[in-house]
Amino acid sequence: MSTTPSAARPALTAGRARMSPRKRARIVRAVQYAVLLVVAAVLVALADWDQLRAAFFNAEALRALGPRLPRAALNTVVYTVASFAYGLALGLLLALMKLSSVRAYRAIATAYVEFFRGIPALLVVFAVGYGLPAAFQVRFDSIVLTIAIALGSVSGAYVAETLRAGLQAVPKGQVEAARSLGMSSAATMRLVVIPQAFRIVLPPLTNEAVLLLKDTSLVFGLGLTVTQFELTRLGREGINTAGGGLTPIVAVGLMYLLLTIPLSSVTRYLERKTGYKGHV
Amino acid sequence: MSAPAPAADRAPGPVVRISGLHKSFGDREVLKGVDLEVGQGEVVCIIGASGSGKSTLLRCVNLLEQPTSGTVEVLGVEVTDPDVDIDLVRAHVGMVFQQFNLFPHRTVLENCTLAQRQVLKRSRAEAEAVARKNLAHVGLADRADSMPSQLSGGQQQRVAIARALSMDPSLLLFDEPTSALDPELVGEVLTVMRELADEGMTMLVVTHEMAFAREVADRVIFLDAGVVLEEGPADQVIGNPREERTRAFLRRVLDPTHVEEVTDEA
Repeated sequence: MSTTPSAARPALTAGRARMSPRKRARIVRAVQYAVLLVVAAVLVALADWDQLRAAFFNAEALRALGPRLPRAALNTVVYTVASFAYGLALGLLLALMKLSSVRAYRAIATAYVEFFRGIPALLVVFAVGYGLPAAFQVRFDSIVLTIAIALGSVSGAYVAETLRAGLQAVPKGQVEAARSLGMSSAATMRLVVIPQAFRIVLPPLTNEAVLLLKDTSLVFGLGLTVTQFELTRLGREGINTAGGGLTPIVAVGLMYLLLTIPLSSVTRYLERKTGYKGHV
Repeated sequence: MSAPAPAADRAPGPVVRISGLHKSFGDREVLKGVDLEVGQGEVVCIIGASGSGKSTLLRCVNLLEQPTSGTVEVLGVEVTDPDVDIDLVRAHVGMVFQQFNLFPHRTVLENCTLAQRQVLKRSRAEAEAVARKNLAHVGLADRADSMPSQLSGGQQQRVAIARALSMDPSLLLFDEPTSALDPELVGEVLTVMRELADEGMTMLVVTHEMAFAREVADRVIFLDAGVVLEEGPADQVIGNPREERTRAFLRRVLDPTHVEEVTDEA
């Protein structure tokens, strides 16, 4: 251990004359604050507050749009819940297929997941909304069903991967313990594996619900009647009918945040609770 | 099922009879022809270096590993026969794992009642009575409502033993039950196992606890590179082994700091 000090190594007192790294960091930080204050001051001085208010928070546009916001928010939620329910059922089926001992099932599930993760969701919305009716002369009577099939088909592919990972994250010893007690493979799945996997996938599934909620905006491409408008479609129409520049967009944007931020904090809460650390 | 269920009052005969057992993982042959019998009420300890195939041998008994060839007979039923309902046999064969493998989402009591209700179709009241009796047996009557994560390793392993006992097994398999425990918690688990042996439970135990094997086992098997190299009464195999490789293994286990000059095998 007691080697002679290397010649290249400066003496401990050598740095005294120069500025210490900590002092330098403090000054750099002070400069950054100063720049921020100057920029803010310039913006405040130059901004035309009346025009900004008219563009973002036009009172008239808000009055015109306000009564229609709850209905659109409700539609957004309904479309999300329906799509999520369909996506979850489909995803569970695909996940079990991916874990099947039958190679053909695994191949089908893999192909499905790759296909629907690789194409734009909007394309699927068009396919279900316009393509299928045109090709097969079938019409889904319910717009909710149409949307659920379109967005749920895409979401199912993502959910499948999440559920598969969750099922595989349950330690093998759990299955062995249950089987060694004489429990069948189905009972083991139902009573031991799935309850534990559920806890693991709850945070990423909540996250998927947030993504799906925002993806309901894609149904603006379908011919919705006024009562079927969800938030994005309402905001788009509001620009034409209510006026007020950006005000309709700001209004529906705030409605989205009102829905997504609580969901996101549920995700964070569940992640803390389950110790899950994954993508968000 | 056409296969006969293991009868509770069987004609006397070995509880386990293994013959010509081979097991390969890919092209790695772990068991190379093992013959082994365990009689009613017998305690047999399997010792050997890590990688010698001890755990694999044990796991072939209840078919957690599928043997590559050879036959395994448990309670008079040939479990290697594909027509046998293995779940039926497993319900009579308890297993205790190195990592406990308690169900973390269930209370201690539920861990002990789940399979009773699911497999043996016992009523809730009966299953809970059996579970509480066995939890008392392992000294954990007061922890029935705890979650496994609230228990120490030694307590968890004792719950695992109670869970296995709650199925009223005819045979208990132990796969290095104390290897994952802090040293000061080993004793409480070994004490429970010693009591079970004294009560006449048939036990097949993979272990590194030589003192336990010497004291409790009726017979000790030394497994080396996938074959039974030496077998006999505990005092003989551990106290006065015939084979040089057994002696070398015991020296390493009993005196880990002992530096050997002999050439290391493999």
